[in-house]
Amino acid sequence: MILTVDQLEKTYRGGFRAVREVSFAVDAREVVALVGESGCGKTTTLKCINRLLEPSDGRILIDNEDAADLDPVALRRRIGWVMQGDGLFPHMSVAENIAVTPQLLGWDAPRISKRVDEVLDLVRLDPAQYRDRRPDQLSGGQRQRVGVARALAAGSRLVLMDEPFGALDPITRDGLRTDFMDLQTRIGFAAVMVTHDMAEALLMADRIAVMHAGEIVQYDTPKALLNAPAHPIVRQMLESPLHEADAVQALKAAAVRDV
Amino acid sequence: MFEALPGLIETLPAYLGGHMRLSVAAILAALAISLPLGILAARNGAIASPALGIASVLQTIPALALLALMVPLLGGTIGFAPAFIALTLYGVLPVLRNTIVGLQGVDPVVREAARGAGMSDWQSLMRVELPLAAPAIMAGIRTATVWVVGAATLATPVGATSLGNYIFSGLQTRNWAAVIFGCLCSAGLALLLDQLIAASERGLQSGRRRGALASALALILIPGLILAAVLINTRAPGEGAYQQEARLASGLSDDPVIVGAKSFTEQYILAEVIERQLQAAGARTDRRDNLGSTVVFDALRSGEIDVYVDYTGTLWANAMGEETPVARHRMYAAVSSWLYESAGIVALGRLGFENAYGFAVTAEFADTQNVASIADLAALPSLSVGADPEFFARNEWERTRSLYDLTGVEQRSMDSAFMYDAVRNEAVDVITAYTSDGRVLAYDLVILDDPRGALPPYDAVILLSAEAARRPAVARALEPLIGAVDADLMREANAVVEVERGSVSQAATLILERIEAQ
Ligand SMILES: Nc1ncnc2c1ncn2[C@@H]1O[C@H](COP(=O)(O)OP(=O)(O)OP(=O)(O)O)[C@@H](O)[C@H]1O
Ligand SMILES: [Mg+2]
Repeated sequence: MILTVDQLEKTYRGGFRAVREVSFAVDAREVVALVGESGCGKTTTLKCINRLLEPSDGRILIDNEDAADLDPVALRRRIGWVMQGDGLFPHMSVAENIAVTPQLLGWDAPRISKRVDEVLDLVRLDPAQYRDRRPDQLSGGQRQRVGVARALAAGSRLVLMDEPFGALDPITRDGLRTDFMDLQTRIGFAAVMVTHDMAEALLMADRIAVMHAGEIVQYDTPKALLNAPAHPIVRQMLESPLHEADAVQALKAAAVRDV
Repeated sequence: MFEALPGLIETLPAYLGGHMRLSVAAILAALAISLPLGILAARNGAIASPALGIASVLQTIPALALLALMVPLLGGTIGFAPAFIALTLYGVLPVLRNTIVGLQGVDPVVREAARGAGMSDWQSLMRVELPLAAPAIMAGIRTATVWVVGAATLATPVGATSLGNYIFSGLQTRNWAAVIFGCLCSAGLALLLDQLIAASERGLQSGRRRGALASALALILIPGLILAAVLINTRAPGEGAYQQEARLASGLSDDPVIVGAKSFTEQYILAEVIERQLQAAGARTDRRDNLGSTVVFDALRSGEIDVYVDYTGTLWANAMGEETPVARHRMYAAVSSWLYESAGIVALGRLGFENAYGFAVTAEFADTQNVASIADLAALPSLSVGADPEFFARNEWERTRSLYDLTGVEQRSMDSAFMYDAVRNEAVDVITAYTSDGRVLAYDLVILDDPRGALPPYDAVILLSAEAARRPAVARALEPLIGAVDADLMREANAVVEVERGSVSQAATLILERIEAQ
C-alpha cells in the first residue's frame, strides 16, 4: 500500500468534527476518488494526508511509514498536490511555477527545464507558447492544467488532487480526463482525486470512497458501487448522472422523431 | 538672489554631505529595524498591534520635537547621534506598516500552495510572500526616504550638519536665497533617492536584473561619491609649522575649541567673534551653530561644546527653574554660582549688554496713543501683541499680564524674524522685541518702560564648559571681550546683518575693531 488512512479524525478549532473515523487504502498505480456533496470533508481529508492539516486522531501511512514521524516539508515534496482552485504563484511564470518542487528537491537546471516541457506537453499546453506566461495571462482551464502539471513535475508516486477538472468545459474536460488516464497508466503514479461529480469518479477511478457528513459511507470499485449501493446517499448520487443521461437520450429520441 | 549663489555653493559639499550621511544612515537603520519586525509581526498578531502602535505614536510627535528630545535622552550629546536616532525612529513606521499590510495581504490560498509544494516557512517567505508584498514594502521605503530626507533638515538645531543649516540661518538672518536654496536642495535629494528606488523596483519587477542592478549601484554610488567629495573637501588644510608652534606656546592643546550658537543672528555674530578671538590666540576651533535653546545648554554641560553665549534670564528660568526674577546683578551672581556648583560651568563674565524682552511700539504709536510704559497699555480699548511662541509660554508673560492688568489681549505667535515688520506695518500694536536687535534702532521703535519689573534681566554671559574652564589659555583669549560689547554696539552689529544685509563676518569684524580701538 502506498497510502493507508486509518481511523482519521479531524476536529477543527471550535469543535466542528469535519472528518470522522475515515479509513481507506490506496495501492500503487491506483486511482481513488473521494466523492461527496459540498462540505462533507473531502478537502479536509486530503490535507491531512500531506499534513497541511494535522490530524486530530488516527494514522496516515505513506509507503508504510507513519506520516506523523516524517518531516512535513520533506513529506510534501514527495507528494504531488493539485489545489482546489488553481493556487498558482501569481508572480511566477508558468515554467517557474512548475519548477518549484523540483528546485526544492535540488534538481539541476537543465533537468528542470526538460521536465517543465515534458509536463506541459502532458497537459497539452505548447511549451513554446506557454512557458513564459504569467498565470493572469491564462484562461481558467489553462491554469488548472498548469496546476496539474505542477503536481506531476517532481515525478511523485502519489498525487493528491482536489477537483482538478472543476472549471473546465465538457469537451476539454473529457479530453483532459482521457489524457490523464493515459498518463497515469503510462507513468503509474497513484492518485487520490476529490470530486463531487459521480460520473467523473465512475469513469476514472479504480475505487471510490463516498463521503457523507465527514464519514465514508461506502468504499468500493465502480462496478460494486453500481451493483450494490450500500447507503441511500450512494443511491441518490448514482441516480443523478443516470437521470441526466436518460433525459438526454429521451430528448435526442424526440428530436429524431420530429425530423 | 543669484549673487548669493557662489557663497551658498561653497558650503554645499559640507551641508549636502552631512545631510546625505545622516539620512542614508537613518533610512538603512530604519530598514534594518522595520523589515524584520514587520515580518515577525505579520505572522504574529501579538507583536503587530503594539509595534504599529508605538511606531504610530512616534510618528505623531513632530519631527523637530523628537529630534530635540533625543539630546537630553542621550545625556546632552549633540550632533550625529541624536539626529540619527530620531530620524531612524521616524523612518520606521512607513516601512513597518507596509511590510505588515503587504505580507498580510498575500492570498492565503497562495501561501497554502507554497506549503503544499514543499516550501519551508522561510522559503515560502522569501520566494512567495515577500515578492508578492514587495510593491507595498517598496512604497513604504519610498515614503520613509522622502520623510527622512525632509526631516533631516531639522537636524540642524541638535547640532548635526545638514541642508537645514541653510534654512535655519537663512530664516534668522532673513537671507531668503539661502532658505530657498536649502529647501530646493533637500527636495531635490528626496526626489532623486525616491526615483532611484522606483527605478530599481521597476527593474526588479520586469525581471530586468541588469536595470535593477544598475539602479541599485547608483543608489549606493551616488551617496558614496558625495561623501567622498565631502571628505576630501573638509580635510583640514595643512598646518604650517609656525601656527603649530604658536599654539603650543600659547598653551592651547591640539583639541579644537568648539564654539556653540543658538539660532539667531546675534548668536552667530558672537560665536564668530569668540571664534576669531580664539584663533588669534592660536587655538584651533570648530563651530556648532543653530542649536536649540535647551540643546545648547545640555551640550555645554556634557562637554560637547566648549563655549557659547547665554543670557542670565534664560538660565534663571529654564535651567534653574526659578519663577520670580531678581535684579540684574543679583541674578548674574546667582546664576554663575549655580552653574559652577551644579555643573562646573564657568560664567567667564558679562559681555556688557542685555538681550531682554522689551515691549516695543512704533514711535508713532507711542505718540498718538500716548504710551511710554507697559502700564499705559491697560488703558487702551484693544491691544494685539506679537511675540515668538516661546514668550507666550514663559512665566514673564503671565507676570506681565497680571502685574499690569492686561486682559483681553490678542496674542499673535510669530517667528521673531517677522515680528519687527509686523509692528512696523501695524499688523500688531506691540511686540516683545529683543532689546539688542538692530531693528529697534532701524525701525525707530520705542521700548516701553517696565516700572514694576515684570520682565527679567537677560545679561549676555560667556559660558565655558567644565573642561574648557580647565584650559587657562581659553579664558585668557576671551577675557578682552568681557564688558566690551554694550547694547548700542550689539544693536549696531545686529543691524549690519538684519538691516543692511551684510554678512555675519562683517558684523563680527565691526565688534572686534571697536574692541581693539578702545
Ligand atoms: N478551518 C476550518 N475551521 C472550521 N471548520 C472548517 C474549516 N475548514 C473547513 N471547515 C468545515 O469542515 C467541513 C468540511 O470542509 P471541507 O473543505 O473538507 O469540505 P469539502 O468536502 O472539500 O467541500 P467542497 O466540495 O465544497 O470543497 C465544512 O463543513 C467546513 O465548513
Ligand atoms: Mg473542497
